[in-house]
Amino acid sequence: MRVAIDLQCCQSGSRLGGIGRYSLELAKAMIASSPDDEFLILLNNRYKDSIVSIRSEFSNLLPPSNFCVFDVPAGCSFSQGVPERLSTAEIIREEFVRQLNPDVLHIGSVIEGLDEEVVTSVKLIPTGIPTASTLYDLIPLVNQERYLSHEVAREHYMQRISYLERSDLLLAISQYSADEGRRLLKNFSGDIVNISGGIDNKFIYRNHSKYIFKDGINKFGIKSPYILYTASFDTRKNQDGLIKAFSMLPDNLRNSYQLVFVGNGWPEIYQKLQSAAIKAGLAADAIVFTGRVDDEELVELYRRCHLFVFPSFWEGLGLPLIEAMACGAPVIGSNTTSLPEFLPHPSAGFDPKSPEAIAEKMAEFLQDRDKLQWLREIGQQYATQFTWRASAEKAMRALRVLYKSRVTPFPLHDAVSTTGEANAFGKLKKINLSEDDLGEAVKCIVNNEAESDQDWLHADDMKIGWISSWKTRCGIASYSENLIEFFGKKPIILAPYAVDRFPSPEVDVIPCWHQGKDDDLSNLRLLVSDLDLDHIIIQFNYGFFDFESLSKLLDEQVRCGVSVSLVLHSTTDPTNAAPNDQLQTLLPSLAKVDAVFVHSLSDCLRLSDRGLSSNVHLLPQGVRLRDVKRPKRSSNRRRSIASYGFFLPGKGLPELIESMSFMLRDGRDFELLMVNANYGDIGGVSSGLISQCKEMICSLNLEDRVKVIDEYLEDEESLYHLSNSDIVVFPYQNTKESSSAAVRMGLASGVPVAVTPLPIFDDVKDAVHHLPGRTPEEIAVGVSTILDAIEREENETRMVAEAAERWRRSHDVSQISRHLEHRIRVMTFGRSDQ
Amino acid sequence: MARQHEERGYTVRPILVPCRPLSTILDTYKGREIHWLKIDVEGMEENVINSWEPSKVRPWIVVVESTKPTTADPSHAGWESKLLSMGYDFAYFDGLNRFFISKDNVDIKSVFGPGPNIFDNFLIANDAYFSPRFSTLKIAEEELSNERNLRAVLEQDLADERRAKGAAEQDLIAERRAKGAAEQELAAERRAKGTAVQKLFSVLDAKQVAEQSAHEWKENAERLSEELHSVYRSRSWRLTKPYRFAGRSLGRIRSLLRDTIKTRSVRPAMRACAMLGLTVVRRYPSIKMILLKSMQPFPNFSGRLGLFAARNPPTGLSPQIEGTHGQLKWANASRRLKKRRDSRVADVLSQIRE
Repeated sequence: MRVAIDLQCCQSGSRLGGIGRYSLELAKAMIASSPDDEFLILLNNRYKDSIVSIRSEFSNLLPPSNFCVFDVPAGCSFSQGVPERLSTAEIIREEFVRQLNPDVLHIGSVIEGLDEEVVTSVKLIPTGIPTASTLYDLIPLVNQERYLSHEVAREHYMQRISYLERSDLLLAISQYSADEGRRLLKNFSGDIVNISGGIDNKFIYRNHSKYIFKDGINKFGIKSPYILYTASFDTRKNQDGLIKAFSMLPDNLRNSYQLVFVGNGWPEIYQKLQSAAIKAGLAADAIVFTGRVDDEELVELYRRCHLFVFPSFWEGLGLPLIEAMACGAPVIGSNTTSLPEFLPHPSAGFDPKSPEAIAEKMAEFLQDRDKLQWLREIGQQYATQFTWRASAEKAMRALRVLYKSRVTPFPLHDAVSTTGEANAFGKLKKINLSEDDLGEAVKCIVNNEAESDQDWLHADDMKIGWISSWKTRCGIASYSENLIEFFGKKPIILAPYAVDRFPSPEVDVIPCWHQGKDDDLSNLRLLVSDLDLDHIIIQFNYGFFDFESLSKLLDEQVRCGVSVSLVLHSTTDPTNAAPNDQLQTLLPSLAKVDAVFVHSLSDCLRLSDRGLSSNVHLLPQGVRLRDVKRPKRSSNRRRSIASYGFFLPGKGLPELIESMSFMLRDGRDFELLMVNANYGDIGGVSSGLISQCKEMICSLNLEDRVKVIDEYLEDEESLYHLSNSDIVVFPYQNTKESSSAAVRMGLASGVPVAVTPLPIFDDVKDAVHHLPGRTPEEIAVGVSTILDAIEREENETRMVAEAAERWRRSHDVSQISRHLEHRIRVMTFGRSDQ
Repeated sequence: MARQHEERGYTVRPILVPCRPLSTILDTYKGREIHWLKIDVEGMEENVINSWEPSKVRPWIVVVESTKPTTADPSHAGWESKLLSMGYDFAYFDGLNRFFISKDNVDIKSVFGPGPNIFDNFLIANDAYFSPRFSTLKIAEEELSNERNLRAVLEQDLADERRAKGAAEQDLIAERRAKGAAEQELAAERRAKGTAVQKLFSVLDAKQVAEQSAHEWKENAERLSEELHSVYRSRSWRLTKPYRFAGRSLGRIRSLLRDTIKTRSVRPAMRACAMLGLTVVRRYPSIKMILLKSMQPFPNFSGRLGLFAARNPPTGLSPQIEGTHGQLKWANASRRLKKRRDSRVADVLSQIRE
């Protein structure tokens, strides 16, 4: 099934609130739990800056080509008051979705776009694509005089409700919301399915050492045991009632507890609540406002509170309640709206309208240690069922049913939409647009057609110039070669004067520049103009070019209207770089090119700090996947462990060798293949370590079990060795690098990968197995346990294997290459942002 | 049942409800006439009917759902006999429910006639299966799919042709490039040869010029000295001063002569040649390798050339001219692309406007 997910709510203001977070986590879990389905993420190009961070959220789940970014005309938010523009934008977006032709469309949030140019209509044109929307709550609809007193807000909300009603399926965040939807959405005729919600792993892995709270929570002014409530400061959250209830507690309780409010408030509301507290007879320090806290602090606050109280009048989904339970806090809460679904036991509920009832319930549990402990335990147990995976599976099941039962007795919508009046162009015709607006609309349509790769984009051939090192033992040379292999139309390689001119039947290679700072690139510049290129893409690394000359080259081409992009393979200035060798020199020119591609989010952030963001795109580094034929393992074959990467200190290789003897002692008959090349450094550090390790192998009597391959192998050969092992171990001890290229090779081999618990592996954390520690004993225990778990095909190892497979697919160099070629085509022929 | 619903995406919540035998329920209506009893319990019909002990209360009509939930599979085998044995006759099946009539009210049976049929004078909706419009739509659909197939075949052909054309073009480009390279090499060779010959000529020329002027100076000097001598001979008392003067002049003339030969003619010529060569080599980088190779036997010379090149960095064309040249070239490329985009824009515009 091809599923498109509209995640504009992760770009709009909603991204900071519950809706953005819910949609993001749900989408991630849907992708992670459905290996056989294809997913497209729809994003709005008017919120360009948010795209990179959303992409990076999915970088281990989806290849870059699965993000579809559409244009809509400016000035299309509802409150801007130009309905023609909004309708135009809505039709343009739906037309884009039609061109992508997914089997189903899921809209993260329909109720958007009051003050923002976020466009989420449903089925205004007959696309024939079943559409599902998430149903959060209908609070404003129930409580109109309070939330919809403003005329514009009301009109907007009612329009959005009509879009909800036009959907074919609603995914409700709780049973309460589902029931409410059935009751209140009179014109809705589809299914409403409760998919509930999950909580983030960080609330579950609460014993993880990373989240040990160092600063203490004293900085918030918490002195005594405390009662906790986390919520925004909306009156329906009922902080008032909780303060009243707190003041009604018996003296002994009231004096031994503080009441802590977590939430992003403002001075006036704090003052108002504080004075209410004093009026109710509470001491000045009885109430604490922490303001906004980060997630680690929140976990700690949950863990240490004696009681979590959730007295809200109205909730569609009580995530804080579940988070608190998962962290081991005893919880009580309102018995209204959706909240009873999330309370661990009916006896934990109270009537939020009555402070007396709240006080009574608080006292009931606070005075009875055993009861409190019981509440804590059932809560923790109850919380385990709320995982994003479970929600995602429910959502996918419902989408699948929707897809199968879609109404297609007459699949004529193609014919209808390309001729009749109902199609996008027909609809646009009916809108009375000014010439300017019409021009703007057509520009967006054509941009979107380019994005969705329509035929006209392929009518002309492109001539691409690819400036890069070539056929040398340089990472960027092999990077270029790998990418170009999958290009439909091969670029012309403009390479440095190399030792050999490489005749190649497939690609043209013209040596025309000198690597280093001495070439003023005049030859390259002349050649580029003679070749009459459509697009020039430059593989950039410090040390390749003299920056001023490169700058000149870029400016010249941009001025002449040639489409130009760069791939920055590094964005950190080398230490002690001369001013002319710092990226700063290039920035003005980089700001003018069509695209700057970088490999990671941290690169993006670094460039964004220097004011470069609007043309920066994420292009993950791919790995080559090969269909490695794994030999059928006979049961009596020794299981083999492999290691990979340069033979250098800090990589834990001696520890790994030592761990072999521990495994042997435990009766584990394993063998170890070390594919660790000599780094060949002048100081001989690597060689020294190798001989040291070889001696160690001898002295531990492991010669027949440990084999060392220390010569440099081509990737292909390394992969062959790795793929023949049962597990690849990266026993790193400590390292200053921020991410590991070696572990990517390990994952590319398709064999399970195990790593020591270090932040360097954070970017692949779901796709690898984690060893309990870094010592030889811990490595030995970890590897044995993991191999056993794999043997038994345990659930957790299956999940890791699935994530690894997702990782491999999202980093498949052929996908990335196709994506890049498409982007170049779009830049060259289609999209013009100017 | 619950599992089936769950698969459709519904949340299942177990709820305990009180169960009572049917006869107890019927007994609560003692003394009242029950006309209609409907049993719809999602698969638990057998349990319900078996809980029906003989009771004084006898509903006139009993309707029981008799297919397995959400299917057309009959499910009445397990309970019908019991119902019949309790004095109920089967009367009618509507596709979902079975209707039974109590023996005490047999006359109702006559009401249950045949099912919906032609004598009901119904009308057929346009999009119903039997509608004549349906078959036209079917045909249209089929035609569409045929056309699509045809289109796919044509597109395939077109793609093949394009590919073939692309390959041919590639060959042509490769050929052209090879030819260009050969021509360039030839030209470079010719140019190099020409340069050498020219160099030789200019050296010869310079030598000749130098010899010529040297000869003239020599003659002058001889004549001058002759005159001096005559002066000396005629006016001996004035001899000393002019002789010294003449001697100094001669020295000056000699050094002038040397300078002329050395710098004024040969070196500028050589310099011009070398500059020309350098420009050519810079313009066509591929010649550079050939030249460097051919100069290998003369390391001194090539070394000096290298120095010369280093001392004379390329100025190229003046920036303005260079810029214009580039702009002209590139303007062509971007115009082609812009045209493609613009034509699509115009296309969309006209579709909206028409």
